[in-house]
Amino acid sequence: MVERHKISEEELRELIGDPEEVYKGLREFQKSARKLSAQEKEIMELYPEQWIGFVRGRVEANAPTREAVLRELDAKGVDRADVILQFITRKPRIHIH
Amino acid sequence: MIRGRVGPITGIPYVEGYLDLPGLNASGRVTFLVDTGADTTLLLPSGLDLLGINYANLPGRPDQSASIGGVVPAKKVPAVISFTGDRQNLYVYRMDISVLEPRAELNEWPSLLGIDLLRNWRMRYSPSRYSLSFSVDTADHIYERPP
Repeated sequence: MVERHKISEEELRELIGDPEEVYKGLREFQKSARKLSAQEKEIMELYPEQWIGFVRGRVEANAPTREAVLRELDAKGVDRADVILQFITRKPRIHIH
Repeated sequence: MIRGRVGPITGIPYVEGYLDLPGLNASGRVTFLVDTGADTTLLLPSGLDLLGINYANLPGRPDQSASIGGVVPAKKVPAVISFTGDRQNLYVYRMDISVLEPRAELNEWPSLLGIDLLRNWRMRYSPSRYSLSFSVDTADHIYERPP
């Protein structure tokens, strides 16, 4: 049994807007993200040590810096809400909290 | 059930969510790296860029994040994070998250989903099967879509 409803339906709409729109947008974003994972091998070969902007199932921009990727995406008129921004590397990363 | 994803080469576990920062007029879809070693959920510079947030102008309580790379200044802000479930529903959580000050050493990192949120779920992570899923124990709200 899931404990829930510390936030009322009315309050939810005040906080996030229309939950139906959030749901649909997030679902599409997840589909795109799964394609990114499925293509990980190819993407690592094509864009090592690069930032990529992955949009709706494909690499829309790549560059050595995040800022350059965002500039390219903005120039193309891509909505940032649809963008997965990821640094492609095989180097191990350590981050202990 | 919430489904994440696993890279077949790296084995890194990710999950996508919708992040809203009430009062800042900022919201958007965010990819989180699932990090059971993080005490708190962290929004990193790549996430800030996509949400259009300038750290310098961000109100919030002073905070800090300690890692192997040292202590990084941060700001604690109220947030609402939503995730879609298999049953056409949306699991919603209200919590404070830490927004890290942009620094060169953080540049390559995605935002992190920490134990403060993960404690609401039971995680099943199978890198060999490229699968990641979460059973939900608690949520602050569950939005169920109309049939």
